[in-house]
Amino acid sequence: MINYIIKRLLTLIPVVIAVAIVIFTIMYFVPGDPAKNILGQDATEEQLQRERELLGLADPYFVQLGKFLYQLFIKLNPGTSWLSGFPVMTELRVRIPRTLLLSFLTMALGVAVGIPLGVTAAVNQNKLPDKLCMIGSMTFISIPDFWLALEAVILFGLRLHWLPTFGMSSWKCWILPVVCGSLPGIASNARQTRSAMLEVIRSDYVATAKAKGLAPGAIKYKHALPNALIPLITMMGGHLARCLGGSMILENIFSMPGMGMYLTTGITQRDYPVVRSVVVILAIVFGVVMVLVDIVYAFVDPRIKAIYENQTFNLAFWRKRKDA
Amino acid sequence: MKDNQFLSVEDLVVEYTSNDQVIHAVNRVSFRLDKGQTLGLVGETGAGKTTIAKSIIGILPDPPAKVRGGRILLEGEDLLQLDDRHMQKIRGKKISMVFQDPMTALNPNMKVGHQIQEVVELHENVSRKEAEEHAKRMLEMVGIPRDRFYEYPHQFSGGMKQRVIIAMALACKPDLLLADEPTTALDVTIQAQVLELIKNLKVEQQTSMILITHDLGVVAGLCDYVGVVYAGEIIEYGTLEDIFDHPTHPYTIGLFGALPSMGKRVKRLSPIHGLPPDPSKLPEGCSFSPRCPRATEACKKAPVEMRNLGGTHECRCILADKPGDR
Repeated sequence: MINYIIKRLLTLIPVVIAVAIVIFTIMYFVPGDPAKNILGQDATEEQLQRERELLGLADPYFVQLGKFLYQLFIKLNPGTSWLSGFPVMTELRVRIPRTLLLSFLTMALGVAVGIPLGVTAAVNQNKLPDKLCMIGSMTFISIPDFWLALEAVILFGLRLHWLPTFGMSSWKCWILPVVCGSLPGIASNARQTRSAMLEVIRSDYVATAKAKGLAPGAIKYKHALPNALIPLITMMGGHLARCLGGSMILENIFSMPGMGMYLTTGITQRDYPVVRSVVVILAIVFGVVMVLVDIVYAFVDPRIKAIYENQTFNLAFWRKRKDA
Repeated sequence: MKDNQFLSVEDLVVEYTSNDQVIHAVNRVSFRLDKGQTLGLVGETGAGKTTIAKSIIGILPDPPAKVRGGRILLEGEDLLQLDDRHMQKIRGKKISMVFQDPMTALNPNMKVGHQIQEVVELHENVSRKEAEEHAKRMLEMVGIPRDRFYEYPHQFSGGMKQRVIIAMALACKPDLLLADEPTTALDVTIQAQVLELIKNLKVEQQTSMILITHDLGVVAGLCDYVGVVYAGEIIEYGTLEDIFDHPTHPYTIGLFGALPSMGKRVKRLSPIHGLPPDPSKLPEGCSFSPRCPRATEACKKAPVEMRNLGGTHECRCILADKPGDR
């Protein structure tokens, strides 16, 4: 198991490097002149040229790429923001926890509400609760979350004055972004859970559980749901990706200074060090989450754990043979 | 007068509804069972045997299945009238069930020991520790070492899984065991082991049993009474001797005719021609009449009532001889 985890973490390295190269290349070819953004429209061509040389933008592509990779992966220093002049690292240290908190809260709410809804829908298949659940989830899957967030700002912030609509000064500020962000997640979790549960609920071991005299709740959550979890956990990885992406939008709508806002301002102002390092960080976070998902599989399903353990067993066996 | 009757099923009717089509799975089935006795239900696949068992323990999937009529009396109490909470207390404790396919009847995500322990904790007033100990003893009783308590079903073979299921079913010393083709999914040597196990445990614990099977050999080895099920009806009922020595219904006779015999030399087995009727469109008269070699016009007109042939031997055939004519 440990070997397997280490192996999976090692495969992350080439992935992250590849992401870095791709995002570097994209930003290299994106039209727009960072020098002009920094110095303003009135700068002379000579000033611009000097600025470009200062930023290293005058170098050939491969030289720039090499410098970027060297700075990021060897020196572990993503540089300073061209516009603000602050080190990117300092900014990230404050912003990453905010974005992660927002994404995890969004996802947690999506799971905590979505899964019980799906279970309820499945056990009441084709009855009223199921139909309500499915119509509701179809609606929220179809509504774009940014539109929903804007409507929520208008209703709860401007009309009713119930909740603050920007900043992150108190816990109240988090309610609207988290709820709006999690609605599509709740909807898709509910649908996925429902179909996974429907498959499991007809299985023989659920009949066995019923024949033992277990109460319906225990049958649902002790016997059926754990067996329906595998497809749900797979989905959870993608769900977190969506939450991370969604937080970019939510942070902008609700003016929360996290990575999302940092990234979007970075993109509009051609602040290359900011954009590149944020994307690489996101890639690392996402990669680690995917490994976590795989590890969680093993804890949820003993059969998968057995496969992993066999792998490490084989590895040990192979080493022994090599030594001999 | 029926108060001392252990189990009696009266006029049980079960229907399945699918796509506005009504499937008559069980039609007016009645039988009685005494304490410590074993009833074998034999019949083809789809005859309604499992549905009978599932309605006794109350785990019919509803929808689509629905009990339309009849009574199931366990020690004088009608199980069909009990509410869910009450039935939960009876399931696993008074009545338990062994399912047909051991490969799928155990929860793959739960340690086998805990699956046994769970039923003990549920019904017996014991601590967690005692329940675990009891579960380990049950494992040993069915011939599985107690240290395999902490293993998962995928680490067991099919025969061992079936033994775990039997251990689970017998953990609370049920009064009635419903065994739904307990050996069908197993190979022949394991079949013999499992049957022997059921037989011994049954004697030890004084359990009554309903054994569902299509293997007449198994019936001969284990049962006191036999009910032959055809198209959701019991068409012949009696003691083991009644059925095996004096099969009366043409279908029962056909079943034995299709069975190879060790003693006699027979050139060809005689199969029963045709197929069981579509349970959504049962014939008006005797349900076996379309396949019956002796069917007359009278057979096809009206449903045939159960006739007593003397003693406990009953048969649903208008051509059945009186006991004196044997």
